[in-house]
This record gives sequence, structure tokens and C-alpha cells, in this order.
Amino acid sequence: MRIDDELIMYLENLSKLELTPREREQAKTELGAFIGCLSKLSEVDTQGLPALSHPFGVVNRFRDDVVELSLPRELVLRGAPENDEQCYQVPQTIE
Amino acid sequence: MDIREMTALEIGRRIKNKELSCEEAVSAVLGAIDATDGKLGAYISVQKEEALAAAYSVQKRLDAGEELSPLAGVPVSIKDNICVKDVPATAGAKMLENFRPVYNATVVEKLEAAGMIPIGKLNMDEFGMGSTTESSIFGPTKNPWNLERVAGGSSGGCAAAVASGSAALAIGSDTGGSIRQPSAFCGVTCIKPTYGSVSRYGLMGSASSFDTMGPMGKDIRDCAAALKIMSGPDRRDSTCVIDAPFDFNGCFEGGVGGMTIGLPENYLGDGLSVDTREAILNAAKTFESMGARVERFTMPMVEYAVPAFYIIACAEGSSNLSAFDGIKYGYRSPDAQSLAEVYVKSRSEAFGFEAKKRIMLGSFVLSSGYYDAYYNKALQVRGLVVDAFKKAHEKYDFILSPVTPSGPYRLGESLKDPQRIYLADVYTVPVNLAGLPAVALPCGQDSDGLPVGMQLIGRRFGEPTILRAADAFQQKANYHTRRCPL
Amino acid sequence: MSFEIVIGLEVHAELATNTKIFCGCTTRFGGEPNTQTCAVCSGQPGALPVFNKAVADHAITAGLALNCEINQHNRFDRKNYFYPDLPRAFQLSQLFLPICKNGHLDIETGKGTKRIGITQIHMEEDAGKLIHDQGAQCTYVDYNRGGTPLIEIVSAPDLRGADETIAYLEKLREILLYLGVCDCKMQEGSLRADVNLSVRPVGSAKFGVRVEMKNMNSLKAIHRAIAYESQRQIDLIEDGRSHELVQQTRRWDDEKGVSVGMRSKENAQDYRYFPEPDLLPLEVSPEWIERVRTAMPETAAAKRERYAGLGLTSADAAMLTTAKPLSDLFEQAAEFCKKPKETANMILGGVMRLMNDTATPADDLALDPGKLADLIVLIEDGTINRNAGKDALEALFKTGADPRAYIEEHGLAMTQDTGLIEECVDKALATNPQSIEDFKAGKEKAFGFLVGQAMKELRGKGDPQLINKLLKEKLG
Repeated sequence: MRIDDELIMYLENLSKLELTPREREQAKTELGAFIGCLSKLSEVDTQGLPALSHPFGVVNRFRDDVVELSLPRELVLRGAPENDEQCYQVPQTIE
Repeated sequence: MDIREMTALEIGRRIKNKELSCEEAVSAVLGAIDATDGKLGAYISVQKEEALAAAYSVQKRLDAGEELSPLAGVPVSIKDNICVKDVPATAGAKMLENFRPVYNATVVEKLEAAGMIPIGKLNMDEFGMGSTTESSIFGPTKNPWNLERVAGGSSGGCAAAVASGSAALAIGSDTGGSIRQPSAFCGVTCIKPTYGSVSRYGLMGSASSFDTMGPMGKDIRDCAAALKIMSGPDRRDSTCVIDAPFDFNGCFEGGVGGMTIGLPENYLGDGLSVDTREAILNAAKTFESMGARVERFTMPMVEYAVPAFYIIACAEGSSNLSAFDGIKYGYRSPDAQSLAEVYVKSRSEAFGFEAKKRIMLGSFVLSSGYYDAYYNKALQVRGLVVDAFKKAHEKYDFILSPVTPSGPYRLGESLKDPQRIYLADVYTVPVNLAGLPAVALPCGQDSDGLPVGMQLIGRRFGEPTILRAADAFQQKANYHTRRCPL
Repeated sequence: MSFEIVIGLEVHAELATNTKIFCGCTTRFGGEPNTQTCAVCSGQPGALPVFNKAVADHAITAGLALNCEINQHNRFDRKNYFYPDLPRAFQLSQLFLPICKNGHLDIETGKGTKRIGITQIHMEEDAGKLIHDQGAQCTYVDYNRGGTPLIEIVSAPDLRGADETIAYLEKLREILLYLGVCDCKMQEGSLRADVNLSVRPVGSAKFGVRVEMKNMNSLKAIHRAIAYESQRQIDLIEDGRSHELVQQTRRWDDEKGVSVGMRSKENAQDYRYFPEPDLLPLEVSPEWIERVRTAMPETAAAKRERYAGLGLTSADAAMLTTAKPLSDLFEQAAEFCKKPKETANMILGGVMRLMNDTATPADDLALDPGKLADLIVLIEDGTINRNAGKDALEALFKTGADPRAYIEEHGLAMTQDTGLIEECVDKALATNPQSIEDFKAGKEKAFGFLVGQAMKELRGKGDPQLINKLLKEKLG
């Protein structure tokens, strides 16, 4: 499959990535070849077959509605690149 | 006898018999790391202080007469995508260079409860995306048998450390072969357990429906002892559906006499190196010599397993890696001014090319217009692979298969031909698609003197059978006791 | 040209569970930021969701009450998009297999009963909260709310105008409240409605361009938003500017009373939905549905019917079911004292008056039903009279005072001494001859005055019925 600029930019946008021009060219080639390999699946007749999200048919594993201790806030926030010890901080989200 | 030569169970036995202290065991492994890791690059970080402190407290418990486990006091090394509270966990990624988990993985809790002592974190491909450990930001892990070669991946650090004696036992993770392939490359023994037998809580997910964790060690009994500890249900992982921890009591009795082994003919054809083919056929003969029957058959769907695997793995992986957004933890670009830049710059600057490629591929197969042709199709093909194994396992106690088409690559080689590397996963990924257990163990050496491995693929929760077969093999043949020259 | 306003609603109801949908953190409202989060709901690497079964129970309950079919095969799907209120950059929701579908809700309109279709109900997790700081050019992220279980109830575009919309929401609110599925506090955001609105010429079968409106925090705001937005759309069409009418999401600004365009739906986001691999499928068996059905709390409509059977007027029954705390109080108190009619009168009279006077919302009502029942018995068995009852109720309402203790302390029990009562009646008559004349001249009011005077002599402790009787006899 040929990956054009439009598709590669679309995928970058969905993935929140911005490739360098060199990366982009390489990605176009390698993804194109890879997607070509993946297309081999079209040879298989799968009409009416179930789509298996898990290898086994196990269902219904739940927890009970019982409160457990939350984590101390300083622990949750300690890895956040920007925080004010109460909240995570990001640049303004509304213009 | 040098501790580096001992199996984990032997170390455990000596600790129990007071021939060795926990501290001595820890110090010996720390010494081995010092001696070898400069050349290998197996470790990302070593927790010397914590390990010595743990050795002290485990020793106290043992001295007080507490029964912990046969592996009590044995140092354990852990792949760097498994969370140990407060200990750096980078997953080989720039994104997590300074990350310290806020909780323990269930597996770590279980190992610690059994008296094992976490000693260091092992190198891996960035977020497990690779099969050579070359995509780690900490540089590649080298193969202890030949420093010009890769150790394999993504659990390359685990395999190299065990092979070189700088880990008594290692815990790796396997998404599409990440435990088995490096084990084969480095001549160590491992088990990739049935999906749902070991809790994934605390494993930084690569592909949620394939990921498993498993032990890598010097022989199969070490692996069985560790898996017994790691396995069991967990209320924090609802996909961990096993009813109770494995109980391998008596599982090594009886050998392979009367077992029927399936050998897929189509696994032995084009693409498989002559050396590997020969080693596998020799192994088949060994099994036969011990009373098993080996039958050749054709395993269907194999050629579709790799594409189906990569579609699902990249889809799940791209979504799992979305959590790395520069907000809650991990890398945030210092140049990001707006929210959009926090996302795009942080991710673009931190992720390596392989990760970016797989994230974009995952976005592609899930995007509107392509979902049915790729993602949904792959899920359907997965069903066919599951069926193919089910059918084979109705006839065979286990399936004997190569792990890799050839021996370890030269460093840098994989970057030139990524396509070939993906296709090299052909023997390992079907097992993950079907969620089955497989042991990998050394069964020969190639013309360069490098180890060759085989895998025994069992039925769902059929670990005892493949453990018994692997053990019978290791009682008979001694490939696993060959030590690397390092 | 006259226009018809076509509305469909997406109602998000936060479920009244103790814990979040995929972890054990509390769902309590109003905690300090990020104090109610754990590895799972703050999106720490390696943490996994585990489904809270009570969420499915609540969703099935709502589905049954809204006459839906319950889907046997369920699962969660990841809806992938980046936003700071989503810690893992995806929301778990049900795109492919919603738990309920094809239901309906009957509402009362000016033109009689109207059936509104419920297209589907699905389960999902709420996002965290973003707090904006204009000055600092910074947004603060709080994940306490993240992972709170929601159901989204999607109606068919069957509503015509604001009044029907409000009637639908009020009815829906009542049902969810009575089922205990949601506390329905719009001001706290536990019930939120997005309004999909379009207009079309009356008689046209084709739908107009649809606008989705968000951020209305009260029924009043919804009413205003519908009025504003429908007029905006009609104006555009009438001005010949239909082309400016685009499918989009608009944010309601209640302060300014305008809707503001957010994002255009034309370049709709590609959410890359796929089944959540960290959870196993959810299978709802017929037995499960029956279990839920059996355990289902009574709806308001069923309660009204039952109250009528207890002898209450339909107006009283309707009044009592306007708020769940009222009907709860009624049922519990009536259960204690076995006097449903008297209990209803006490609540609709005394209690509601006090609520009104003190501006107490029904949700904050904290009356002990046992004590209220005691008070009703004390009045009905003649231990105290109604005036004393009023005082005791006020004390009970305001301080929780036990009626028996209060009566004793204030000496409010009615006197049993008929001799004394007669003496006081006589005294009242003797000192008020004018009133006797007035009464005889037909002024009914004078009789009441005399009763009051006698009661005053008795310092409030007289039995009004006995006083009435004696007065009547004496006035011949």
C-alpha cells in the first residue's frame, strides 16, 4: 500500500506525533511495506466469524461496590512534570 | 561452587540449610553484575541498598523459622516495564527516564512475599516494541555468547543477565515472543505462561490481550518454582482468570513416555536455518528415545498469524501508549507552550522511531474506514488460530516448534531490514494470539557456537505437561548447562 | 412560515454507587482535588480497570424502568482522544453494544400523554474536572470525578420544544431518583443533559441541521437555551442565511444568555473505538435481569397508586411524591403509627410549611420518622391538642427534639379534668357577653373567639373538641 502525505499527516495527527521530514519519508516507506504485509489477511475468508478480543471465552469478572483507600495525593502527583501539589497543570485549555 | 553457576533452587536450598546467607547471595549477584554488565548492558538500574536491606529482613524471617518458599532469599532481577514501588521503571524509554512507580506490581508483591529479593531492573526494547533490545535508550544489551550479537528482545536484558550469571532468575514479559526469543538467543530456559494465569497488574501494558509475564532461568525447575509463586488470581486484574495458583507438585514425575508430540512440518521449511532445523529434529529424536511419539502435521493459519498479531498488538499498543501525554508523569517537552504542544512535542521528542511507527500503525488499523479490513479482520483470524491450536492439541500433548528462524542477529542488522525481523516472529506470535503456554529451552548450538532454542507449546493451562517434557529433556540432554564464555 | 422545534436529548446520569466504575475510590462529591484517586483512575502505567458490578445493576434498573430491552452481550470500548481530563487518553464507553435499547418514556403534555422513544442507554466513565485560571493562563486538572460511573440515556428526536423537553427531564429525574440510580443534582453535575436541536418548517418530514448544546446546569438554563437556540436557527433560515447553519456543538453561556459555537461536527474526530482488552465481556443473563427486577425500588407512579389504596387523595399522593425524601418520610412514619392519612396531613401541612419557612430543600430533610409518628399518635389519641402539636413539630423539625420529652418539659399535655374545662368555658362566657350576642346574631366568628378565650384560660391545654361541645351546649 502506498502511504501518501495526506494519510501520514492524518495518522500523525491522530497519534499526537509530529515526525521530522526524514522520519516521515522513512515511515512512509516502512509503514507502506508493513501495511502491504498486513493486507495478506484479506486472503482469509472470515465471513460470519466472531471477532475475538480475548483468546478465551471467559466472561463476567467483577468487583464489589466497596470503597478502598485512595492513594495519598503527593504520591499520585509526584511524577507530574507540572503540578501545584493539588492539581496537575497544563496550559490553558480554552481559548 | 560459584553462586553464579548455581540454579536459583540450589541457592534457595543452601540458604535454607544455612550454607549460604541471603546477604551473601545478594552480594554475589551484585558482584556478578559489576563484573559483567559493563560489557553486556543488561541492567538499567541496580538497587543495591534496597536489596541488601531486603536480604537482611528475609534472613531474619528465615532465622525465625518462617517457611517462605524454596526460592526464599534468592535475588530476582526484573524487566524494567514491571512496577516496583519507588524504584525507577523506564521501560527502556526516554518517556519514562525519571519515572518511579507509585505501587508494586502484583507479581512483585508475590515474589517478595515468597522471600525473593528484587535486585535490579533489566534492559529492554522501548516499551517492549522490538526484538533486539536495540531500541532501548540505554543502548543495546549484548549477547553474552558473542558481544557482536544482540541478546534478542524485548526481554534482552533478562536473557543476557541469566546467561551470564548476573541474575539468578529474571522476570520478563512476553507479548509476541519477548521472553522466548531472547531466551533462545542466549541459551536460557523460560516459560511464557497461559494468558490469564499471572496477573498483569503493574506491567506497563504493550498489548493488553497478549501480554504475559514469565520467569527466565538456568533450567525449567527454576522457572516452575518461580511461576508457581507468580501465578494465581488477582482482584486487580479481571483478565487473570486462573482459579488458583499453579501447583506443580509431582509434575516432574513420569517423563514423556506415552506422550504424543506434534511437529509442524510447515515450521521446518523455507526460512528456517539449517542449524536450527537440525537441532529441532535432534530434540524430536531425544523425546522419542524417552518413549514419546512424534508425529508430523501441518499447522494451518501460520502465515496469517504475524499480520494478525501486529494489527492487534499495534492497535492495543497505540492506545496504551496514549497515556504518555506529558501531563501526569514522564517526559514533557520544555518547549511546549500550548496544550497541543504539550502533547505533540512531548511525544515526538520522547518516543523512538519504532514506537512512533507502531503507534501510527495502530492508529491506522483502528481508524474509520480501515477498522473492518484490518482490526476486526485480525480479531476474526485470531479465532481461526485459536481453533487451529485447539484441533492440534486434541491430538498432541504439546507442539514442538522452533523459537526463531535463525540465531541472534549482528548488532545493527535489524535496523536495515525491519520487515525481516517482524517475520522472524512467525513461531512465537501464534502462541500469544491463542494465549497458550510455551516453554523455550536450549536444544543445540549453531555453526557459530551460539545457542539454539526450541519451544514446547502446551494446551491452555497445560503448563504441567510442557514443564514435565522440558524437565525430561534437560535430565537427558545438557544444553542448558552449557555456560557462555563471558 | 411557522417552524417546529425538534429535540433529542442525551442525558448523563452519574450513578449512585459507593465506588467508581473501575476502581475502589469513593464517588463522594466535593473532596479536595486529587484526593480521591488511585493508580487506576489517575492512569498510572500498568494499572488495570476492574468493573464494579453495581454499575450494571443500576443500568439494568434504569433500563427496565424505561421499558428497554436489556442486551445480553455487553462490553466496553475505548474511545480514544487526547484531553487533559482523560488520564489515559481514552474513555471507556459502550459504542457497539449498549446495555439497554428500544425503550420509551410517557410524558404528560398540554395535549395529553405523549410517548418519547429511548434509543439506548449505555454505561461509561466520567472524565476528570478542569479548573481554568484565566490570570495564570493555566488549567488545573482534578481526577476525583474521573471514573465516576455514568449512564447516558439517549432519547429519540421525539421532543417538540422546551416544555416537552422539561416535562421529559422532570419525569426522567423522578424515575432515576426513586430507583436510587442517581441523586440527580443538576447543580453538582450528577445529572446533565445535552440538547440536540434542529428546526424545520411545520409539515416537513425532513430534519433540519442539528446543533448539540452543552453546559446547561439547570432546567431553567435548558429552557432558556432551547428558546435562544431555536430562535437563532429560525432567524438564520428566515434571513436567507441557512448556509450559516452548520452541524456543530455549541456551549450555552447562561450568564450572557447565548450559545457559542465550539467545534464543527463536519471534521468529526476519529475516535478509533475498539473493545477494551483489559476487561472481559459482560454477559447479562435472564436470571440477572430478574434479580434486578425483583430488587427494583418502586417508581413514583407506583407509589401514587399505592397511596391511593391507603386512602390518600390523588392530590396528596402527588404532593408526597414530588420529592423522594418526602415519600420516604411518609412511608416510614406511616409504618410506625399506622395512620397514613394523618401522616400525610402532618407532612403536607406542618412539615412542608416548616420547610418553606426555613427554605429547606427536600434533600436536606432530616426528620426522624419514628419521632414524627410518635407526634401523630400523641395528637390523635388526644394527649395533646393541635396547637401543642404544632409547637412540638417545630421543635422536632428544628432541633430534633423528642415530642414526648418536649410535651412533658413544656407541660403541653391536655388536661383531663372536665370540671376545670367547664369552669373555664363558663369564665369565657361570663367575661364576653358581647360575643355571646354576636354569636346569637349569627356571627360564626364569635364562636371561635370564645373557644380561644376558654383555651387561653386553660393555658392551651384544653381539648378543643370538648370545649366546642360544652360551648355549644351552653349557648343552646
